[in-house]
Amino acid sequence: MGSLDYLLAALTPLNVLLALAGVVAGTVIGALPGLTATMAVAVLVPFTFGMAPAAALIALGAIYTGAIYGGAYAAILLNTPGTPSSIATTFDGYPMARSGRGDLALTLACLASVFGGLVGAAFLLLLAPPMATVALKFGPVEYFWLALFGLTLIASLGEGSTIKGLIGGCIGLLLSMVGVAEVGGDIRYVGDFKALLGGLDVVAALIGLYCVPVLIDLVATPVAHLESAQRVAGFRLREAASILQRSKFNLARSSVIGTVVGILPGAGGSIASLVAYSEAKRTSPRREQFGKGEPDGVLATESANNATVGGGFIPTLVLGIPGTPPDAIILGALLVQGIRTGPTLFTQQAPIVYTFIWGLILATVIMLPVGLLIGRFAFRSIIAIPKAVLVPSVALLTVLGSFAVHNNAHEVQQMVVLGVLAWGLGQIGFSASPIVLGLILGSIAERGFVQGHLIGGARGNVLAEFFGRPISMAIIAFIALGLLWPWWSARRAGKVQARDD
Amino acid sequence: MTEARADIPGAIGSVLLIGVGAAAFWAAAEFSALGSVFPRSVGTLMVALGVVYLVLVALGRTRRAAVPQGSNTRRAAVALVMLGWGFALGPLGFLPSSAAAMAALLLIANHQRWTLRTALLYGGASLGVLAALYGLFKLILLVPLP
Repeated sequence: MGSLDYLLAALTPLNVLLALAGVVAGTVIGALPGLTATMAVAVLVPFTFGMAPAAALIALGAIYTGAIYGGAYAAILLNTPGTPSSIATTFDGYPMARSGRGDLALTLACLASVFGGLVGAAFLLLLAPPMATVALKFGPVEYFWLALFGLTLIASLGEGSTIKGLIGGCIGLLLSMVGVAEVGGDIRYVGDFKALLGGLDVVAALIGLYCVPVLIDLVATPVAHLESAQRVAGFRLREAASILQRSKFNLARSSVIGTVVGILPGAGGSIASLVAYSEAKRTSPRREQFGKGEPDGVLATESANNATVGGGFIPTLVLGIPGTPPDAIILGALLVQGIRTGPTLFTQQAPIVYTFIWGLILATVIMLPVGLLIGRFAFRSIIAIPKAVLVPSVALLTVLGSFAVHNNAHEVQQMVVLGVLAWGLGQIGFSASPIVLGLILGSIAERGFVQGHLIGGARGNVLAEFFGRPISMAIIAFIALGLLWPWWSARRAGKVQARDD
Repeated sequence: MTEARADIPGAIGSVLLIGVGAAAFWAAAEFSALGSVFPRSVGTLMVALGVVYLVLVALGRTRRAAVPQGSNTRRAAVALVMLGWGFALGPLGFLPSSAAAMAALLLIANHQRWTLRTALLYGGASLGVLAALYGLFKLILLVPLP
C-alpha cells in the first residue's frame, strides 16, 4: 500500500465521524479546569474497545489533540489552565482577554494548535524511528538537567524579580516532596496529616494555585471580569493571519520544540509550552510586552503543546515507551487491540499505523473549524455571564475538578489551601507559575538526581556522571544561557538607554 | 504590576521563606541518606536565595508589588467560603454543601442592588449550572460525588 492508500483509508465516513466526535469531546473536556487530556482519554477509552484498531486509534488521537487544545479556553478566559499543558497560555492569553482581545487570543490559539499539531504529526509520519533512537539516549542524569533547565526558565518567565521566581521554584520543589518519597521511601513533610501521604496532586494544586487567587480578586471590585471588544469582529481571522505571517519563525520553532520535548518520555506539554514561551520571549523584539498580552506568547505555547501529541506518539509507537501520560493510556488501548508496539510496528502493521497517522492529521485539520466555533461561543458566553454568577460557577468547577482527580475530598481542601497561599504570596510579589513549575518538575529532578548519584557512585565518579556526557553538557549550556540571558539583556538595554540619553 | 519602592513586604516574605527553607533542611535530618539529599539541597538554596533578596532590598534594587484595589472583606469571605466548602463536602454531601457555598459566593460577588428579578435570575442560573455539572460528572463521567 502506498501513502495515498493509507490517506484514503483514514478518510472513510466512519473515521471522519470518529475524528470529529473525538475532537469535540476532547475540546469540551479539556476546557473544563481539572479535567486533563489524560482524563479525557482515560474516560473515553472504553468506547474504543469494540472498534477496528485504526478507527480506535484515530478516535483516541482526536480526543487527545482536542483536549490539549481545549485547555486554552479556560487559560485565556478564566486565567485557569484547563490542562497542565496550557499553563503558559495564561501568561499572555488572559491579559489579552482582559483587554478585550479574548476572541483574537482564542483564534490565535486555535490556528497555532492546528499548526503545531500538523508539525508534530508530520514528524511522526516522516521521522519516527530515527528520532525515537535519540530519545533512548536520555538517562536519569539528562532528565535531572532537563528538569533543572525547566526551573531556570523561571528566570526569563518572571514578570518581576528573577530571585523571587527562583524562590518560588524552590517552594514548588518543597511541595513536590510532600508524601512518601519515590526513591528511598521516606515519609516527608506530612506532619500529622495522613491524607498527605500520597503527596500533593499536581492537577488539584494547579487549579488552586491559578484559579483561587483569580476568584478571590474577582469579587473585590465591581469592575467587569473581561473587557468586551469595542466592536464585534467575528473570528478576527484576517488579523490573526497577519500575526501568524509576522510570527512564522516563532510558530515553526515552537512546534519543533513541542515535538522534540514530546518525544522525551515523561516531559509532556507543560514543559514544551514553557520552553517554547521562553524561547519566543528571548528572541522577540517585543519581549517587554510578554506577560502583558503579547500574541506571540499564545502562539508559542499553543503550537508547542499540540506538537507534543505527534511527538509523544513517536516513542509510544516505535519503542513502546509512552511519551506523555495520555500516550500511556493509548498504549494500554493498543495492547487491548492486540497491537504490539516496537520497531517492527511500522513494517509489520503498516496499514494500521499509517492510517492512524493520517487520521491524526485529519483530526488536527478538523480542529480548525470546530475550535473556532467553540471558541467564539465560549468567549461570548463568558463575556455575557454576570460576574456574580460566574464566580460561584467557576468555584464549582474548581471543586469538581479537584475532587474528580482521585474522587477524594482531601484534594479539594488541598486545592483551596494552596490557592489561598498563592494569593497571599502573590500580594508580596511571588507569582504562581514558578511554584507550579517546581511542583511539576520536582519528582523528575529528584529521581534523576538520586539515580544519577547512585550510578555515578557505582562507577566511582559521580562528577563524570553528571558533567561528562554530551547531552548533559548541551543542556547545561542551555541552563547557563537561560540564567545569564536576562542579566545580559538588561545590561544591553541599559547601555542602549544610556547611549540614547 | 510593580512599583519602584523598597520592597518591604517582599523582604518580610523572604524572611518567612528563609525560615521555611531552614525548617525543610532541619526536618530532612530525620530522613534516610537517599531521601534527604534533595530536600537539604533545596532548603539550602531557598535560604541562600532569600538572603540574596534581602541584600537586594537593602541595596534598593527591588520593586514592590502593587497594592490590590477593592474590598479585602469580600476577598477574605471568598477564601473562608471555599475552605468551608472543601471541609463540608464529605460530611454534608456534594449537593447541599455546593448549593450553600454557591449561594454564599453569589451574595459576596454581587456588587449591584438586589431585586427580585436579579435574585431569581442569578439564583436560577447558578442552580442550573449546579444541576448541569452534577449531571455531567455524576451521570456521564461516573464520578462518585459524595
